[in-house]
Amino acid sequence: MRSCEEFEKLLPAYVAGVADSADVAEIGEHIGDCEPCMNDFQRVVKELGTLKSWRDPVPPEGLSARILEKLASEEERRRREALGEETAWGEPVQRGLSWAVMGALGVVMLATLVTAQSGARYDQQRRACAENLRQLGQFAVKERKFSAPLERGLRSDPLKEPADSLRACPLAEPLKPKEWSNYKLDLRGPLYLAGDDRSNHGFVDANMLLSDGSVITVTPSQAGLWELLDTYSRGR
Amino acid sequence: MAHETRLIDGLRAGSRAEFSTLVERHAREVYAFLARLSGVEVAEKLTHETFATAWNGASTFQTDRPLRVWLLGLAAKAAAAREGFDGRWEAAARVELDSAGAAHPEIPADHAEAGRLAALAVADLPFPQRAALVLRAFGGFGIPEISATLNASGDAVAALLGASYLSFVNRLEVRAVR
Repeated sequence: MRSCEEFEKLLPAYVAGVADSADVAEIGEHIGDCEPCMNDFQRVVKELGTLKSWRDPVPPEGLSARILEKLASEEERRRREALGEETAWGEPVQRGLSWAVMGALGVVMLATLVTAQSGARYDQQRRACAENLRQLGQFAVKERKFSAPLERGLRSDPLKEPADSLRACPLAEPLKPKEWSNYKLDLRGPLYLAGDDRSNHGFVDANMLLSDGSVITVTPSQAGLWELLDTYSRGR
Repeated sequence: MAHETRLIDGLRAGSRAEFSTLVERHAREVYAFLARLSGVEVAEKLTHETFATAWNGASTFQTDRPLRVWLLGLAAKAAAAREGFDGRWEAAARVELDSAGAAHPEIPADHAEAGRLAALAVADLPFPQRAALVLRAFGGFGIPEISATLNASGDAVAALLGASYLSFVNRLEVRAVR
């Protein structure tokens, strides 16, 4: 038989509806028979009722927007860190390199980063891709022959995860002009950035970091990308 | 539930649009939970951490639990990390029940004052008890949902709740005497 003091300890859980089911009947029976414990019960009901007086904390205005903005900027920062070696492209910007070229390069770069496999192999491929892309960019700037229209302009569609079968890095090996056709084939396959179908399959848009710190979101023009690679190929 | 299924599918596929919807729908509740659990001063920061974790882990979201349980679980983890709680809920639940408050003072009739005292009494609770009580009293969660949210056993949650409500009453009485 429990004492009143023991029952008193169980009352808050009982009132809150979280008491052990084995205790519930006993507690109910006891407070029905014990006036002091009934008084305690009524006091506890009142005390737990204060929780209902605690008004809902109201979030500061614009909380959701700030969360999304902050997440986007953190992603951008990580992307910048990942593309650290490419951010030294001051020269292209000084020369007025078109955003179209940079955008197309960014698409390839981002697509390469996103689709590459994890682990050491991924890192190795990523570095190789970055170097090849850097060479492509330098060539494009030097020759000033490239003018790729971004046919679909700026868009904000989400970047979708490519299917596993598309996880490959077509530019991981050193670029050699004689192997152009191989790259052409590779690009048609793994990255799905080329061809007549403009849906771009796995890649809808991409953020491109320019060396002046600004960021543009571009939807790749497949024709533009081909033109870039074609220009590169002729130049070599 | 169809809209939640769509939302979950989108999140797992890495859709930014669906993630924005998630934030719009749940930021208020996550913020309120964290404000009650850890205080308004840190609630926004922890809310951000919660959604950052959600975004980074969305692809591994387990569909056997509601989004709300998942999100509040991430929020509780963020709050626990801030307060240095190691996640050992079972150990935290093994506590002697406090002795009942001795004074039994009158609780203020004023609604706002009563709410303020309740907030202070909750803030005095140890973190594990506070987390369980806030989920129960304000989230409307039962023991199974709290268990899933905190990744703790049902027995541990039941023990924590029993201790938390008793501790709350005792602390409220102490606060009311002052």
